[in-house]
Amino acid sequence: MDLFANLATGFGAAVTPVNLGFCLFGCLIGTLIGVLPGIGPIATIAMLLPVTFGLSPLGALIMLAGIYYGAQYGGSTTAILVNLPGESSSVVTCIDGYQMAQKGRAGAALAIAAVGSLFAGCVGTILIAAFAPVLAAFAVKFRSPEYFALMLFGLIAAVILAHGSVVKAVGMVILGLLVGLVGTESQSATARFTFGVPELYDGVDFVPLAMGLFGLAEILSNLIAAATRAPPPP
Amino acid sequence: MVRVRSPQDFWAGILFILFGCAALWFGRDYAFGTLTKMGPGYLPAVLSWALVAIGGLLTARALAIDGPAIERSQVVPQLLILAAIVLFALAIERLGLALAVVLVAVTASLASRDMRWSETIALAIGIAALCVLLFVHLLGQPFVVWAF
Repeated sequence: MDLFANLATGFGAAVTPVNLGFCLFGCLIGTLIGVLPGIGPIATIAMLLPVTFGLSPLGALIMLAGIYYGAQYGGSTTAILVNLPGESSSVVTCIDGYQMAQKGRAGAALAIAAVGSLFAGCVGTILIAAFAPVLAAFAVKFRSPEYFALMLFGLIAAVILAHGSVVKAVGMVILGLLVGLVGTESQSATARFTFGVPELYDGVDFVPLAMGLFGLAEILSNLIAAATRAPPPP
Repeated sequence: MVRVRSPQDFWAGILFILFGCAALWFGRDYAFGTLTKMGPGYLPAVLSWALVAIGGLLTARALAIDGPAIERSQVVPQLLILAAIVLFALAIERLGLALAVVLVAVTASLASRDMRWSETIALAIGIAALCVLLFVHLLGQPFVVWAF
């Protein structure tokens, strides 16, 4: 089998104490930087790229992989503890992770996030290693109709999974679509709803939007509840 | 006299209508095109009208069905939090990172009811020092620390 021979070669190169040390170090600083809200895996890698300049190509790649996974996990910490999603992928962590933290189970939520991150990372890596050629062939077939179907599915799911009023959920989905229209239109390059601000030509980025909707709303509602909030249990 | 039975839904509907109208107004110059050849104004117009319709439905329903009232909100603290963010955006290039962080910390602290000046100033200086150390010295981000 080609797969196992290739995997054996890879493990033979990667599993040395020094390389594993690089991975641990990368993971550690990746998590530390990823905890900062608004700094996702890509920004973390961009910032920490100079750290790997002195290493061999293999060591640098291993360390960057560690940084990537560390940063991806780090975003969930602020999502759970203060309801501030550090990056787009941890917005969902806010929903139930923060609820657990409010019930005094922040430790459990953080542990679940860590174990889930480890498990999903392992499964994902194995899947990629085993099925990369098949997946690549499938991904090439993914065109506009498939993207449309996927987006429609996502929007319908957003309405169905929303708590409370269905009419409000539909309204918010439409409002979200309208916010998504800000920026340069892809067919005719017309700048829509940019008000002449050059920063908006690229559209509204997801992280500032999520920070505003989740984080800021949390701060404001905390301010209002501050007077009536019960003292924390001893 | 029509009575608003569900104030939350009522004002949410009004907000939807306002957003829809604003989008229609700002998007009035984009070419609409036709169904087979959609212009850049097609989707904005359709979505805006849909939002107005949803808002209208929500508002009308709020007159017929009972719903929760709007909690009393505190306008001044909320404006102070928003002002802190706007101030940071304005100050980061004109005053530099250190002063901008101090400004944000002090403005945001004013929103809290049990704020003490000594605590706030210590917190502001601490956060400013941490930000400069972390973002400028350790991560090498191109911030202006002092603009003067």
